[in-house]
Amino acid sequence: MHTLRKAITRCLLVGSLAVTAGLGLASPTPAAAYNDCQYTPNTPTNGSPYTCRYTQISNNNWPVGSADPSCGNSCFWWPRAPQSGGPISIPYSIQIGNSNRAKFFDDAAAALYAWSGQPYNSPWTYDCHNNNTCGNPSIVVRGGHYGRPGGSTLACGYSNVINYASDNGVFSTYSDYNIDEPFAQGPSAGSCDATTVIYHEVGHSFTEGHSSVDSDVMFWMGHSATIDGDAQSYLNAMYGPYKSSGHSGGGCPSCRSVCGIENCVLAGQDLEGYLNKAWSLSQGTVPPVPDPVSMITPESCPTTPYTIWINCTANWLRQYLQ
Amino acid sequence: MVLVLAASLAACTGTAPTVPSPPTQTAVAAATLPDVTPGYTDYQMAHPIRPHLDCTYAGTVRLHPLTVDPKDPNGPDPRAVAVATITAIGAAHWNTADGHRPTQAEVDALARSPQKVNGLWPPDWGIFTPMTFSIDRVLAGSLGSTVTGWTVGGATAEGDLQSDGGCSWLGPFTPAVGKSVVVFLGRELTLSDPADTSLRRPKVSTMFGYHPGSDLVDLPQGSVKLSKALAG
Repeated sequence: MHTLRKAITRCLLVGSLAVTAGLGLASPTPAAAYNDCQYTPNTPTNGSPYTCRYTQISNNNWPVGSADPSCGNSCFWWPRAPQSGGPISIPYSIQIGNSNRAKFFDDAAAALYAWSGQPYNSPWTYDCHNNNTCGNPSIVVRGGHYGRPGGSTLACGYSNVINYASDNGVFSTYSDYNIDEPFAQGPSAGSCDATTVIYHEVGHSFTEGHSSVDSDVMFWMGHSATIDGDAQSYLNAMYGPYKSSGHSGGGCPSCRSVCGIENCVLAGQDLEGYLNKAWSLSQGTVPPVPDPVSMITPESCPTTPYTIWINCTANWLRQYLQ
Repeated sequence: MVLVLAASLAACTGTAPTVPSPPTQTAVAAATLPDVTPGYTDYQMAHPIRPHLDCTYAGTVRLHPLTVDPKDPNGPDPRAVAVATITAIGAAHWNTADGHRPTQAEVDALARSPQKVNGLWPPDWGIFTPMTFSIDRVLAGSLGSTVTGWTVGGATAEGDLQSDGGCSWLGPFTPAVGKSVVVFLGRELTLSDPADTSLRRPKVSTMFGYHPGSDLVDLPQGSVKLSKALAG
């Protein structure tokens, strides 16, 4: 059964790529607001004359430079689904495991769930557990050798977000732990915090730029693992409020009230947003891919769709995402 | 489209996929397993591309200590640190040996089957811009009167544009000819030999704006006297 399920999954994933490629990913049409920056020359923030609660990634490097952080026509962003205007589904691949120093894999998975599950038309990502089905577009989390800059400065994470010059549409992102630096699980003097580093880097993969707010996940020296209001404001500005298929939850009560909170949590990560979005995508007419419900064997998904689906999906996730 | 559908069909019928697997690796902290295969970027070279490389720092940016130990492969990158003046900024190009735009085959080779060079993992492909520095004062290591360092990013003649999110310089600073800087010169651009002290094509590990008259160096958290920053 496991083999059959894997085969079905492989077909679905490759099929989803085929559909995505066939549709050609619609040209991006960024929303009007790219950032939340204020020109504050008399009260510079990190040396910049701009103070920004959120920015876009191609933002003239705020706060590194002192230029206007607006990206204007050069904004990077993930396309939305061509017909529905809703989120696109893209594969992710985590190419780093847990170690005795930090749970690199677990933290990366949690960060991907958290970012994917936000109620905006930003992408929903699914595990490309069979690397043969990975391709572009995709989000990859890796370990990389980026060196150490010198002094006692820690350069903990790197993100490489790549788009085509022709239309600004992102086609691949790489969010990397810089494994040349020392890592620890949680805050530790002289070490990088694996959890907060990857929440920040995966945020870049969703085209988030930096924030000037110290407690924000996208603070440029990020040390938070919460998708905060400023990060959400960016997603709302760039991708728009979530355009669901109308099937989100199917009119059923929340995961928590149906299942109990423990069934909505996997590996310490609250999956409700992620699963709700997956449910909606799976039930919508456009795009019908990927279809996580179809990846669940029918015999394990009887009549009470939402409740059982949550449990089934959690089981599926346990098998394929862990 | 036909090819993609064919791939889909092949997957559904059990035919072995033709797309090679990207390299996988086991996670570790650098101190426990320093020889982990790094991930390499699967650039798509059919069209001009615009990568944005962003670096995230933790803690407080500090110049101290000015450790320069080329023989320590796990130590900080810098092989020399200096107060300098930017005297020229050259044309950006890819970090291939002769600067040519890497072909898709070269990208694939590095992404799928990375091989060590002289016992070291090669750096990933990227766009770099050369900057020539007139050395005003050597703070650590050994330098002549001028040196050319390579900073992340730039626009190539072929239309590729890599933007730098703080990987080559920090603080309220934008490089320009005539500006004074504190520059950390790191490993080689194309051959990352940590024990090489010749600084033939060093990458700029990091760089900060400097004001000779006031001896202030501009760090992200504010300007401080260079002498104080060096003292820790």
